[in-house]
Amino acid sequence: MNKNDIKLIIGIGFVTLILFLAISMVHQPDAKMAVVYYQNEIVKTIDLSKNEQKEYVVEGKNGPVVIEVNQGKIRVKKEDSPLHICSKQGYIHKSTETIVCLPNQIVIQIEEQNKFDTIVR
Amino acid sequence: MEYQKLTCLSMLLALSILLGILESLFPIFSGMIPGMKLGIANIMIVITLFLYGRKEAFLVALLRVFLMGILRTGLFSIAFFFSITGMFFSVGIMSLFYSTKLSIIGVSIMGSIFHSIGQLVAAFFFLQIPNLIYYLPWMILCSLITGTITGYLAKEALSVIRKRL
Repeated sequence: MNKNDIKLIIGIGFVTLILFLAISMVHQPDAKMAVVYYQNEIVKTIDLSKNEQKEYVVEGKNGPVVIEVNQGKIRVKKEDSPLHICSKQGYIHKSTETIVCLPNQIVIQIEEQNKFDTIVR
Repeated sequence: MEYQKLTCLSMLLALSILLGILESLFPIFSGMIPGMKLGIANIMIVITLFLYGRKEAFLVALLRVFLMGILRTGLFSIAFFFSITGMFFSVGIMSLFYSTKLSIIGVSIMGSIFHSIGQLVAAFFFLQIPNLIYYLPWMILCSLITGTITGYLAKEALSVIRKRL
C-alpha cells in the first residue's frame, strides 16, 4: 500500500461520512406501509402501524414466500433460493430499508401511508 | 496468443470461478449486510489486469460472468444481469485507475466499490428499486475493507506468480 492508496482511503472515508449524515436526515413517516412487489408489480400492501403479528404468503418465482409482520416490523420468514439472503436479513422497519429476494423476484419496501393512498386513488 | 499466455489466462479464469463458488459456500459476511461478500474471485481479475492489461482482464471477467451464469445463477437470469453490470463497472473503473499512481490495493478498492455501485444501477434498471441507494454508504464502507483485503492478497499472489513466469 502506497501513499496514494492511503489518500484514496481517506477520501472515500470522507465521502462515506457525508453520505451517512445525508441518509440519517431522511424523513421517517409515522404511518408506514410495507409494499410487496413481485416482478415490479404490487402484490400486497401491509399496514405496519397496526402493530399486529401476522403471516402472509405471496407467490415468488421459486414458490411461496412467507412474510411475517411483528410489531411494526417486517421480514421474509421462509423462501426457496440458493443463498437465502432475504430471509437471513431479518426484520426491517425504516423507509430507508429494503428487502430484495432476487431469485424469487420479490421486493419489500417501506413506504409512507399517505403517499401510498394517493397512488391507489 | 502465445501458449503460455493462453494457459495462464485459462488458469486465472478457472481459479476465479473456483474462488467464486467457494465463497458462495461460506457466506460468512452476508449476515452483516444482505448479500455482502469478500469478493475473492476479483483477486484473479486484478492479477490478470496487472499481469497482462485491460483487454485480457476484461476478457477473463466477461467469460467468468458467463461461466458462472451457466454453472450457478442461470444464463440471462436477473442475477446474471446483476453480475454483468457489476462486472462492467468494476473492471471499467479498475482499467481507468490501473495506469494511475495507485497501487494494486487502491485499484482493488475502486473495483470493489464500483462493483457495488454497478449492482445498485442494475437494481434501479431491472427492478425499479431506487431505495437501495440508502445502502450505498454501508456498501462503500464494506468495499473499503474487502477491497483492501483482496487487493493485499492479489499483491502477494502476483509477486509469487511473477517469479514463476
